[in-house]
Amino acid sequence: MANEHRLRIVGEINQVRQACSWLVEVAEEGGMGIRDVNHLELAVDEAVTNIIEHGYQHTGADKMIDLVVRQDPDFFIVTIIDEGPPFDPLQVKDPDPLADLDERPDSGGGLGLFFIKRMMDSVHYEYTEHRNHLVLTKRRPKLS
Amino acid sequence: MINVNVKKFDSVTLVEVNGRVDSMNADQFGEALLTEIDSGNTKVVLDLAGVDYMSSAGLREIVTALKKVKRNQGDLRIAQPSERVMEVLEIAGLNTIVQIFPSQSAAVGSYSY
Repeated sequence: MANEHRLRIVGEINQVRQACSWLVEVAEEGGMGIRDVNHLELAVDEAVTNIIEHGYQHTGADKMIDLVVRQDPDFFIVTIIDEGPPFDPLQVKDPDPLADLDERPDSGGGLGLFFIKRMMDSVHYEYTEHRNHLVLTKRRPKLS
Repeated sequence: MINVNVKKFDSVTLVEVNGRVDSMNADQFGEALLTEIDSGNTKVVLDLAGVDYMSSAGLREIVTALKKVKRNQGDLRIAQPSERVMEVLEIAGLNTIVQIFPSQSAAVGSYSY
């Protein structure tokens, strides 16, 4: 029942929208609701942008990012794979949404990673075969 | 690309933004806000009715602009964000540090009090 979709993009900021458009199309075709599609799009945008702006910041050209979607009746799972240095976003401290303005860093302070965690039902990280794997899982709504 | 329109209502500067605000163009979005603030405008309304999508890159620019305008004894207030943009504003907690109004007229009018 599981099916799989794959996309490979160059790790450059002008490729992020392509990744988002592709993901939205796959999620819509896969029957995800509009709200879930929106959440998946934002999470993938933030994850891919973070890889490009941080993981690939000091690396050479032609670094790639792979996106793999696997679906089954219960879950929609996006795995994002990059070749940057090992980086576990789950270890980054969440920003405080109630912080005063002066306490908020101009850099965002991990806001993008916080969005990923809030938008998904679960987020899993592992470093295997010299690559970061970030696994974003959205649970499908139960059909009544 | 995003499209930015600036209008003046007496002392209030209205910045209307249209399009998708993400890491591709957040700089442009931020510069549009800072240009108005650096010009001495201290009563700023950011109308987000035409913004269908905003990532954390856009929210960072709002925080930076808000800090700058507050240092100038001014304020930046947001008008009519879409449901989708409102959700990210709330998750980031920006609704606790920025006044958000359901209409452009309410946001502009809020400076008369």
